[in-house]
Amino acid sequence: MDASALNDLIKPQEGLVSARIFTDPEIYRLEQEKIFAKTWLYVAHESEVPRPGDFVTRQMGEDPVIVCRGRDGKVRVFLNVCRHRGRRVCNQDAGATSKFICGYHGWTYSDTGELLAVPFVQAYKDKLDKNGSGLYQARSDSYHGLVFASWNAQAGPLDDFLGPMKWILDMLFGRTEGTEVVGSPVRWVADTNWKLGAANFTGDGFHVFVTHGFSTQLGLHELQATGGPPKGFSVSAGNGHAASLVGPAGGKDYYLGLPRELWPEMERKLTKEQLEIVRPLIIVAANVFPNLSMLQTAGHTPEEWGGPEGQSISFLTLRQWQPKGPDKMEGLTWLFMDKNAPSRWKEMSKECYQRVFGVAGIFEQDDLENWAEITAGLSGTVAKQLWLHYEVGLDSEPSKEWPGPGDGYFGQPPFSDLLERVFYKKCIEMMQG
Amino acid sequence: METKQTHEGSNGAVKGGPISPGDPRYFEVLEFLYSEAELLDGRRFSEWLELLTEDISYRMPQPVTRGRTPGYSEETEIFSENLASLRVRVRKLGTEFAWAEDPPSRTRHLVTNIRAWATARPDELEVSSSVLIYRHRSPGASADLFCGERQDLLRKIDEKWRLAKRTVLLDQNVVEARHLAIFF
Repeated sequence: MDASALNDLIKPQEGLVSARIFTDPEIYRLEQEKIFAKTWLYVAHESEVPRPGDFVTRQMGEDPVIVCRGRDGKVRVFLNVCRHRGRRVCNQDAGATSKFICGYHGWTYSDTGELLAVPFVQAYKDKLDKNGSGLYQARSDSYHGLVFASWNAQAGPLDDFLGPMKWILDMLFGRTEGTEVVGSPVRWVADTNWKLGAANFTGDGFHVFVTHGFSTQLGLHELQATGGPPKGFSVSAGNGHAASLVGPAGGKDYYLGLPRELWPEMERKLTKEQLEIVRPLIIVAANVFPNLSMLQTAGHTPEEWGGPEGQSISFLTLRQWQPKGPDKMEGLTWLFMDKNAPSRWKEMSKECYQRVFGVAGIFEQDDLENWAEITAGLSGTVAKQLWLHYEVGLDSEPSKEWPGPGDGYFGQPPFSDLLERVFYKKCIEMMQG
Repeated sequence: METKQTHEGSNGAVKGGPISPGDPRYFEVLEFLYSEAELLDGRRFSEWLELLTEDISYRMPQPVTRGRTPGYSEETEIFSENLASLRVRVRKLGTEFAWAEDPPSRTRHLVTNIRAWATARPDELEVSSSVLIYRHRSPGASADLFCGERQDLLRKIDEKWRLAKRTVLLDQNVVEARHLAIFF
C-alpha cells in the first residue's frame, strides 16, 4: 500500500476515517512496521522492578520483551529471545533473578544482558562472538518512572517524543512526592482492534451518557450532582498525544479528587499554571501515542462502587492496548497510587477502581463490548468501505487561555472529536513514513 | 508484588477437620452450590443476592506466574465486591444500558470436586469447589470458558446456608474474554 492509498484512509478536513483501518491485515502489518517498530513504546513503571534482578515481561508491538533492573540498578529492556536459536528465554510474568537461561541449549544471560555462558563453547572454536551475542537491547529511558523503549536508533530522545505531553504527565505522575504501581496488571485478550481503546481515551465524552448510561439512569454519577455541563480543555500535545481535562461547572477546587492531605504537595510540585488547570478538574483522560492510555477520575460515587456514604474518591489508572492481530489485542491495566496518600484513602481508591474499571469493571465492561463489537461489525467486505464520523469540532481553534505547551481547546472537552482525529491522522502519517 | 500459590485458608476461618461425604452437612453444601448454580444460570440474580451475607466478600485475585509459581497477586484483584456493589451490578442488568450483557450470556456453571471443612465456629464451613463456566452470547463472539477453584466460606443464618466469602482462583494468567460481566 503506497502513500497515496494511505491518504485515502482519512479525510481530516471532512472529519471522516475509513472503516478499513480497524480490520485490514495489510494496514495492521504497516502499523507494526512503521509505528510499533519505530516509535517509543511504554513497557513498565520503575516501581514494578524496585530491586536489582527484578523483572517483568511485556510486549513491544508483537515482540516479547523483558524489562529488568540489573545488578547495577539500571533498568534495561531486552528482546525476550535467545540470540542462539530464538527461543524465548523468560516465560514468567514477573520475578527476580540474576540470570536468564534458555531452555533449548542453555545459553545464559546476565541481568544486564551479557551472554555469560554457552555450554560446550569450545565446540565453536573461535567462531562465536560472545560479546556481540548478548540479549538484543532496546533503547530505553523514563519520565516520572514511566519506562519507554524503542527499537529505532534514529528516533529522537524520549524527551522530544513526549514533548508537550510531559506537562500533562506531570499532573498525573509528578504531582506529589511519587506515584507507584499497586500490585500487578489485570490482563485480558479480547477480539478488538488496539486503536479503539487508544482513541476512546483521547477524549470521547459522548459515549459516557450512552455506554455508561446505567450510571445516569440509576442516579449514580458525580457529574449529575455538580450542576451544569462539564468544561475544560482538549489538549493536542504533539506527536499524536492527547488529553481531555474535564471539570464540572462552578470552578470549585477538586484537585482531581485527591485527598486534601496531598494538596500541599501538589501546590509545591506543580507549576502555578499547572495548578491553576488542575484545581477545578475531576477527570483527566489521555493517550500517549500510540497505545498508552490513562485516566484519573473522581467521577464515581460511593453508591456506584459500594463505598461508604458521602465518601468521594478518585483513582489513577494506566492502560495499554497491545496489538495481537488486526482483530485482537491484549489489554493491561495498572492502578497507580500517590505514595503519600493516607492508607485508608488508598484502600478505597483501589476498591473503587477494581469495581468500576478493568475487564470486569461495571463501567469498563461496556467499553470493551463497544470496541469488540466495532471490530466484529467492520470485518465484512461492505462494512470496510464505509466512512466513519469524526466531524465534531472541525471549526475549533486553539484557545489563547491555554497556559501550557501544545494546543488547548477550551469548551466542553467531552464533546469534540478533535483529539480522535489527531490520533488517527498521526497513525496514517507514520504509516506513510 | 507478592504472590502465593493458593489462597488456602485465606478466608480467615481456622480450617478444621474435613467433612466426609457421609456427613449430612456435606449434602447441605452440595444442595447450596447446585441451587446457587441454578439461580446464576437461570439469570435469577435477585434471588442469588438473597444467598449472600451482609458482609459478603466476593473476589477474584489476578493470576501472576512469578518464578515457577503459578500464583496470584496479593494486591490486585480482577474484581473485589461487597454486597452494595453486587446489588448495583444486578440493578444495572435491569436497565436498558447493560450493554455487556446484550445479548445476555448463556452460562453453565459445572461445579465439581467439592470439599468441605469444619471451622472453629459451628455455624461456618470452609468449602472448596472446582468450577467450569461456559459462556456464549452471540454468533459474533466466540464462546468463553473459565475454569478455576472457588474457595468459599458458608455461614448458617436462620437455618439456611449463606455465602459469606468467595475467592475465585482462575486457571488463566490472562483472561481470555472481551470482558467479565457474569457471576462466578
